[in-house]
Formats: sequence, C-alpha cells, structure tokens
Amino acid sequence: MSIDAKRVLISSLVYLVIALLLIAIMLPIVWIVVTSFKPESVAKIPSVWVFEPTLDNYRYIASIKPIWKPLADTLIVASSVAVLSLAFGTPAAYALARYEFRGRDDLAFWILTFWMSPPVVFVIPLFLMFDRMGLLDTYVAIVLAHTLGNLPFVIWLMREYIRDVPREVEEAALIDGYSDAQVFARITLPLIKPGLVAVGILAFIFSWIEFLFALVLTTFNVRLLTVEVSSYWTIAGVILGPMTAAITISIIPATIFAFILQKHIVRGLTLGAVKGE
Amino acid sequence: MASVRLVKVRKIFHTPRGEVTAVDDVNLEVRDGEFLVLLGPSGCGKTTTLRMIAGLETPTSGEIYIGDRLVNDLHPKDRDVAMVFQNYALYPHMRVRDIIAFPLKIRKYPQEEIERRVREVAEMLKIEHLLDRRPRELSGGEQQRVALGRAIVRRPKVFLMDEPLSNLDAKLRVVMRAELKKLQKNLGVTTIYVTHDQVEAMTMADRIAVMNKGRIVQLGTPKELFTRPANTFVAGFIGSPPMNMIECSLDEGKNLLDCGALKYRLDPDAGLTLRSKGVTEVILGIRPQHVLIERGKRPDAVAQAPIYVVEPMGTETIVNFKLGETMIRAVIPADIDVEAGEVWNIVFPRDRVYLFDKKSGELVA
Repeated sequence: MSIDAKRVLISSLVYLVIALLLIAIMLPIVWIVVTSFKPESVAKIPSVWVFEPTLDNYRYIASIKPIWKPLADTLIVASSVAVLSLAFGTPAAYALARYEFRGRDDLAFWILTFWMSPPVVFVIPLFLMFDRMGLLDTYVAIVLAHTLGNLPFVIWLMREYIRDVPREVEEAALIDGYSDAQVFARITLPLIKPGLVAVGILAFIFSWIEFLFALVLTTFNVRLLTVEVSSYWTIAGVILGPMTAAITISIIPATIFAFILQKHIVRGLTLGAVKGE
Repeated sequence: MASVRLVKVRKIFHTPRGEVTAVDDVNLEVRDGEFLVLLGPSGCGKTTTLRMIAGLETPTSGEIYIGDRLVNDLHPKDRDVAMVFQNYALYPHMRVRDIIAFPLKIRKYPQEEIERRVREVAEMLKIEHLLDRRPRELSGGEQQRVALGRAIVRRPKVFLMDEPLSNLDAKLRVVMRAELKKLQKNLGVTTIYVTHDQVEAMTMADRIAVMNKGRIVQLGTPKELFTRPANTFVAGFIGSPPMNMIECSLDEGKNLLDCGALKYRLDPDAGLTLRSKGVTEVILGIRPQHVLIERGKRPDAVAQAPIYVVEPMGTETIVNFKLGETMIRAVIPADIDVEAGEVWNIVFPRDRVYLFDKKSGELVA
C-alpha cells in the first residue's frame, strides 16, 4: 500500500471513530429534544419518529407544573457558586502558586484528592451538619456544598493560570510601589482574567448539572432543575413529554456558557510580558 | 542618592534536598553614585544579593543599609530603589506611557509632573514614538528601553539591574552597554548591576565584586582585578582568553618550578616568598597576552614546543601549545605568520607571572 493510501485510510478511520463518538453523545440529546415536541399519545418508549409536533409539553411546564421557580433557583445557586468558588479559590491558588511554605505541594495534592473521591462520601456528613444547623433546604446549604465541591478544581486551575503570570511582573510592581495586596488585585487579577472567566463558567456549569447534593440537601424551599426533572419520574411511571421539555430548557443556559468558554480558553493576555515567550 | 551597605549578610534557602547557603557572610559597601558590578558564574549568589537589597528576599541574617537606614524589614516599595529585570517584566496589560508613569502614579504625583517626566525620560531613551504601544508590540531592545524608563523616571536612590542586557543580541548589547554607562554617569545614581559577563563588568563598572559560592572573592576596580587577581578564581574568570594556569611544584634547591613538561626559573625574591609561606605546590598563572613566543633559541625559554592549533581572530592570533597534559595559549599580533606543527620557544616574562598557592588558590607572589 502506498503512503498516501495509508494516510487516507488512517484519517478515514479517525473520522469514523469521531463520528461514532458524536452519535453516541448526541443521540440522547436529539431524542430528548424531539420527544419534547411529541403529543402525549406518542411520547413514550418505544419511540416513534413520525408525529405531528406540538408545544403541549412546554405549555405544561410553563403553567401546570411551572418550571420558573426551579429555573430561577438554579440560576441563583449556580451564579453564587461561580462567584464564591472564585472568591475562595483564587486567593488560595495564589498562595499555593506564589508563597513558599513547608508542605505546600502536599497541601495542594491533598486538596486535589477531594476531587478524586466520590461525592457520595460527603453527602451524608453534609446532610447531618446542615440538619443540625437548621440549614437544610436553604440556598446557603446548597451553595456551600457546591462551592466546596468545586474548590479543588478551581484552586488547581487558577494556580496554573497564576503561574503563567511571570513572577517578575509582580515583583516589578512591588518595587514600583504597590503593596502585596495591590499587586494581587491590580496586576495579577487583570492578567488572569481569561482564567477567571473560564473557571467561573466551569464552576457555574458543574453546579447547574449537579444532582446528588441537590436531591439530598434541598426539597421545596429551594428547588433545582435536576431535582425538578427527576420529579417526573413518578410512581405512576415516567411522564416523558414534560420531562424532556424541562430537560431541553435546562440544557440551554449551560450550552450558551460552554460556547463562551471555548472562546475564553484561548490565553493571550500575558503574551509579550517577558521576552522569550 | 545614597550608599548601600551590606553587613555580614547571609541567605539560606530551604529546599527539599536540604539547606542551601546562597549568600554567605557578604560584606559590601557601595559608594554614593558608584556603578558597582556583582560578577560571577550562575549560582554564585549575585542575584540573590541583589534581590535582598531590593527587598524581594529576606536575609537569613545580617544587615542591609540604604543610606543610613536599616532596610531589612522595609517593604520593597518603601526602599526607594528601582529595578530592571533580565526579562524586563513590563506590565503586559498597559501601554508604554502608563508603564513608565506607573511608579509616579502610585506615589500620587500631580498629573502635569507625571506627563513632563514621562516626556523627558522618553526623549532621553528615544522612545517617544512608542508611548502608545503595548509591550508585546515592541522589539527586545525597545522593551529594554521601556524597562529602563520605568526605573529612571522616579529618580530613586539606587538602581538595581539584574542582567539587563543578556536578552539582547550581541550587537545591540554593545550599544546599550555604552548608553547605560553614560546614562548612569549623567544621572549619578548609585547602581548595582548583576552580570555573569566579564566583558560587561570590565567595561561598565567603577568597581567589581567577584562572587563565587555565595562569597565575595575579590572587590576592586576592573584594572585591579585584571592586574592583581587575588586568587585563581578571579584570575580565571577575568580576561579573555582565560589565564593559563599550570600546576607546578617547587624544587627548593634550584629555585625552580617543575611544571611537568616545562621548567620555570623563579626570581630569588619570589622563591624566598614561597619558602617563607611554606608553599611548595604552586599554580603558575600567565595571561595569553603576556606569553612571548620566538622562533630562535632563548636561554630563558620555559619550553620548546610545536604549535598545536592556530586560531586567527583578525586583529590577533591565538596560538595553542600542548605540553604533556597542559595547554598553553599565547595571543600574538595577526601579522606574525604561524603554522601548526612549527616548533617555537615559549617565554614567560617574570614580571607577568602570578604564583598561586595550589591548596588555597590565593595569590602568593
């Protein structure tokens, strides 16, 4: 076989694998969106692909079992989680990136181990703690829980962004007249802005899609989308129509943010700070 | 303007592999208005010393004074020093105008004063046309000038420069070397300049402090270091090509140095000095520029040897001889024709020979 033929074969194999992966990932989503437009009579399994589309399911989640409260709650919780994760995570990351102290790398790794352990390990103790404090079914409980869950990756990612800022740029500002806090706020933070946006959006998305903590720590007072969607799974069966409509709605914001994220992952701001980079 | 004084300054770094003494009991006085160069190989402690003066590192022990003021516990911003970094460290998110104005803005200078000074500095450094650009739009040489501008705009007590020319290409480096020296003389600001490049040190410094393994091994004017190196380290570090160093042992009876393939007759005084100090193992040093070579026989020749390699440099020629295990270099005028393989007589003029104690490396005679 010639080299060219080989190359064509390999690249078509690669495309085939990518196509299969995409189908595997996209098929459920397509199915959900399509099902959300089906009338009640055909919105069931096995699926039919020929039907007259209707907005009944969306009318259902707009008025009969309104999705507005869960949508607003999830927005409030996910936004708060994004802000708090950055507010706690960035200074911690700065300390881990910039200050020398005994056991620094061990501490960083220890933080990472939380990200490696299954969330279900933490859900019972958190439930008991919040119960004692009378915080069950409050914004505070779920926001704190999600923030805690996010902190390991926020700290690790922000640490990398901070390390990308040349130390000398901060030192120059120290000598030029800034205090340590001013250097952090006015030199480092502006330079890691792309990182803050990217990591903030990731934190938002993780909170948006989280189910386990939401299920255990919230009920009616605070109602998150993932829990709301699961409530269509009733003792009488799964109410597929409204459920898929709710999922479709809940996918939209996360998708928008994912697109923004793509743009911001490009780093470019520190370019030109230091010769040789 | 101010002097800078270091008293028994020591810096120990704690690393996973144990303690490292980066700076070891350094005493140094930099005079008001002086251009002092800290010269040494990488890892000798010169940059750490500079960073301690800047306040970016805290000394483990010892005292640092700027003027009469003890600055050990003073934040960098309160020390009234300016620093130029090897990689310039310009603020990437600002325009050149704002970068130069930055130290003045922080100190709340009035707006007109800031504008006037930035204009002055930009004129002095010929960067007026770059004021609205960002660092990434500048060449290396231009970034270098902006970094200098940010340092001089405030008229600090002391300039600290950490290898500021080492990222420039060779040609530009020579130009900036001269400009920087002139600038320093015009401004009259005490300057401490770190480099590993002995040519930079020799051409720019009023005085040079040569550092090795965390200590200052010699402090003096460039001329002093060249003509009177205190030890083999300085002798080998300063001068290009480096000084010839030959291991010899003293033959006491004959007042002769036995250096393997070559023999060197001591003058009586030098012999006496060696004996009085009890030095029998010696390192003989002579600069390549001072080695004489002759075709004809000479009674005072240390050896007769074939030329090993000839390196023509244009204005001069470096001739290499191989005597047993030792290489001897001689620098001769380019108009003398030499060829590899030819046998020449090698002469060490007595007044150009340095004798070092092999054990301590110190200059003996």
